[in-house]
Amino acid sequence: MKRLVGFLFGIAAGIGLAMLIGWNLFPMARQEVTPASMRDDYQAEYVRLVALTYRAEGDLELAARRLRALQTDPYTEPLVVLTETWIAERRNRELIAPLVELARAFEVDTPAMVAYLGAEG
Amino acid sequence: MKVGGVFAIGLVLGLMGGLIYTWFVAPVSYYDTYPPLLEHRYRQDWIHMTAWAYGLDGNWERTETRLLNLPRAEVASGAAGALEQAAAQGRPVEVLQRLAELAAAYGASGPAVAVYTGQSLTAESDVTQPTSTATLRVLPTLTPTPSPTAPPVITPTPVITETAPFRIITQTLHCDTSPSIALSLEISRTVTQRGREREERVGLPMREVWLIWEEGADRAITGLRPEEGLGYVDFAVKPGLSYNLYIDAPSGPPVFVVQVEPCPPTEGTGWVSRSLVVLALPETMATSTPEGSLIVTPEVTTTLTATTTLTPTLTVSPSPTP
Repeated sequence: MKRLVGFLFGIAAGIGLAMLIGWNLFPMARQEVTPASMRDDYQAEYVRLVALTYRAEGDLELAARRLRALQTDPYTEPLVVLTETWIAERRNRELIAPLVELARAFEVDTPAMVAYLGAEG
Repeated sequence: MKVGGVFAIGLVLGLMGGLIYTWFVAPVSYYDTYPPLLEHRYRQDWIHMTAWAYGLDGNWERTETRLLNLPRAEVASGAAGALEQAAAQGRPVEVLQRLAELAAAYGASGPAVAVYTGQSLTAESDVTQPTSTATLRVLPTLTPTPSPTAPPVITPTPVITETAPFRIITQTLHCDTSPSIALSLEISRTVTQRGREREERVGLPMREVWLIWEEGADRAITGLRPEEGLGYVDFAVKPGLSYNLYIDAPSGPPVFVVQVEPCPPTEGTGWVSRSLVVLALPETMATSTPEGSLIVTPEVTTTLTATTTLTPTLTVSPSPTP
């Protein structure tokens, strides 16, 4: 009986040690922390920043690469979802206009966005 | 087998099984992270975009929230980079000022930050000692040539229209598929080295250079690419268009007027790109005609001095090419 208890304690201690090593001290093939891992509100802020920066830089390819970092399929989905959500919530036009411009540039603009095209930011 | 031995066997088995699980079955994954935890390149991008957003909307409170807990050095570097990009693109001054303000707030420094935050600048024009004439002294070997001919150093090009206090002293042309105009703004000063006076030219940083054409304008600040020279600035230009180049302010007669022309067939295909060296000089060195164009009157004096029995001195005053 003592030996069985000792064996079980040994296994438990080994598993605990493995968790410490495998998840904290030496995690295997450390996962890249991308914008896709950010909390939802930060991801929305990220999409907004991508749209604002596109307005400044005018680089559609770069904007696409940034949106792809959110790892969605299609990559424009977060942009469309956020834009339509904010339109539905009747957010400030200045917030929405850059998103609509970028959606338009990607040719994923929807009827709901039309009213915001050309709105000054 | 003793209890200790059984415990050790259990420990090894548990460790092996646990490592297989934590490394291969359920490795670490991150969720609900925030910008400071991002990989470096994504973090840099976040900072870059935040800087641009601040440049455009000027919302300081939101910007600080976006940059919360991010390394200050990274923010400073990212904001300074965005500022240089914006300056190169000729963005409005208020955008540049905001970017500079952001960069400075996080400890960035540099010519662009200094210019747009209004910090005191050490313009070299304030401390230079410009030469009053273009006198060139040559101390040759012991064997003087009886009739030396000194080639004129300065050959003004007729198509160049200049206004004091700037003078184009060198213009290099080359063929390029993407034409450009590069300019190095310099000032001449006299330095004394080992008892001998010597003229040297140094670049003038932090000066505005404007390129105006019929449908638009571009502006750049000298010295933002110090590897090219303190007074260096360049612009991409479009084939066929005419450009007026101004220094400091886009008003008055331009320093330089140019049309981007195709290369001569003998030089290859493409368009003519120009590299100019512009000397900022005192007004006494230039006189203006009533039409506003400049007459360059270089006084080139070549003095040959020999220390043999003959000591001829030759003075050559070439007339500038019209």
